Amino acid sequence: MSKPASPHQSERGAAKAGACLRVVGLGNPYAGDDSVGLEIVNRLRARGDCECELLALPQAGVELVEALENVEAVLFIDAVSSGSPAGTLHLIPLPSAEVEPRVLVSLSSHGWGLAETLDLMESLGRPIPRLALLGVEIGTVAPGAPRSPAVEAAMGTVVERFPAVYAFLAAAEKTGWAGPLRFPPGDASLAGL
Amino acid sequence: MTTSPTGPSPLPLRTVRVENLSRVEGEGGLYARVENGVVREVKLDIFEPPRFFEAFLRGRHFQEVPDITARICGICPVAYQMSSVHAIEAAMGVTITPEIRALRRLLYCAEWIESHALHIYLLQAPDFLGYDSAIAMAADHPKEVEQGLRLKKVGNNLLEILGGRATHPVSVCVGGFYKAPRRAELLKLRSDFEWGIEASIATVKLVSGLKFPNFNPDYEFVSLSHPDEYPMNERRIVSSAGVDIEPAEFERVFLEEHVEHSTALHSKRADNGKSYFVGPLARINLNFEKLMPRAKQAAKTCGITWPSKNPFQGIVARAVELVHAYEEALALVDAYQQPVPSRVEIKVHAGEGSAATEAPRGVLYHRYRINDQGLVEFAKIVPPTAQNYRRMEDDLRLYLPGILDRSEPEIARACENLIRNYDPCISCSTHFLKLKLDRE
Repeated sequence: MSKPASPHQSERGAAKAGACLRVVGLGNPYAGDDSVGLEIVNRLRARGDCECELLALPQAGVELVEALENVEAVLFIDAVSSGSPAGTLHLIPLPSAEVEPRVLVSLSSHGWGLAETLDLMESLGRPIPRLALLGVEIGTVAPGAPRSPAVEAAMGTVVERFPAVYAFLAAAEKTGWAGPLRFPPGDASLAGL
Repeated sequence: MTTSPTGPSPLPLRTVRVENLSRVEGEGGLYARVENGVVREVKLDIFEPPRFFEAFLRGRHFQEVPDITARICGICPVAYQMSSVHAIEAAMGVTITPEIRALRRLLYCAEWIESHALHIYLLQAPDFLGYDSAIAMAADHPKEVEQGLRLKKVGNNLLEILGGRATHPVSVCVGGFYKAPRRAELLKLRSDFEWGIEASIATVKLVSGLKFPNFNPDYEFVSLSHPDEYPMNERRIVSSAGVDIEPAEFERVFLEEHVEHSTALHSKRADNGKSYFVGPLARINLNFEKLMPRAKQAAKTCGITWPSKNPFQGIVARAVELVHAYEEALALVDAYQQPVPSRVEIKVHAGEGSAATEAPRGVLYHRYRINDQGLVEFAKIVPPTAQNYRRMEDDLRLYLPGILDRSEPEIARACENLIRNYDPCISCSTHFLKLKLDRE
């Protein structure tokens, strides 16, 4: 993955030809920790120096097709629930047995999710970019609840260490990254990236 | 072309149950019981949880209403915003400028485009072409699916410019818009609209050549009607049975009632208790002459006889409206003058008002009572899908006897196809399909 010549930012999936890495934040802004993907994208946008395209998709349906257009690699950032302590970070190449299809389907409020999007792109013969998931282990998703402190801390780590995440993903094709990485709460170094 | 459902079932008792309706928005199912070929019971089981939006709105400031009601639906948020702002403006005695009115119409065009393109190509076309999903259809018809995706994308892009984002737009307010786009922003989409007109005319040709079952119930069609333009945001509510009323009279003529098997209310005519039909087919049948020129020409030459009482031809009506929406969007952009200011001032006072607009799926009625502090005291929302539920059940009673000789999966599929003619948005209305058929 080469570095983009002119990084830009976008609210949603208005794909720009030539983009290298697109970060797509997913989630529900009104459901506690489920907002984590959207908020990380907002903070990366505020950071202003991310060499990638940033998209926030609070309601990802068929629009996910556009989020996967004209790009080399896509990093989804979303809430995950695996039983790990809240705030644990999971960096997983997709598709992966680590991520159940039903979890992917839940990306859509009307039953259209990433799994359906990938199937459709395959049927259409469209190229599918390399995909990865940065999952943030959630605490609460109660409607209207604030994000839990552990998730807030994890968000801070992701935003601060995003250049390392970007560099890792940029090199992933050469390094042959294939397995999930986990970072426990409080591991602000993201050691290994 | 048409095909006729075959004769009644020789089996004495059959139960049809579709556990989950697919390719609709929201969750519901269908139960039917048939005795000796006679349909005894049909129930659209709407088990999507009730959503209580009308209660949420109580006590909120009137200016919050369009943002809250937009959350009712991710497919048709503009419709909820439009009906709510018009109803509250009626309550406050607000008159908007012609420029704001035109911009609201453009916003509605964007929603019709994205919603109609989605339904035609990704939700309903697989029914007619014999596929279980758009994904399966895409393998054999990639050109058509790509066209549908692009048609939808242009609508999304327009919605993003006008509304600030493509889903749940945030620019709409009572009195106008928080921010109006610059003319140059809209002109960037001009070539897309020109392409969209041609692509949607091709869509009319494509869907009018599909095979439609020979099914023509005696419907009462209901829609808005405007003397000068195809209905979207205002004017009277009319029907093919002679209704011609102001929106304020809606609740006198149309009643909602609770039914045990549904978390959504069902609507009916107040005087005779009968079902009625809202949506694109109703709009075209009642407003054909108001279509934009190329949309009208496409409708006239597509081989369908209008008015049509065949609900399966709703896909053609939707395609004709796709042409209309693209055509009107182009005209509105060409004539666009940025409203300055983008919203009119509002003097808060107590009042009550109602309005109806044309959501992609049909008439959407709102009524609000606002107190002298500008807070909502009462809200009533009647979505188009809730108005169509009783009609869907009536359709199933008429349609089932003709298909009972088919296998259970075939019956279930045929019932789902029939329901999808209405493009139901169950999520909107709760406040789809599991099928069970009992036969005796």
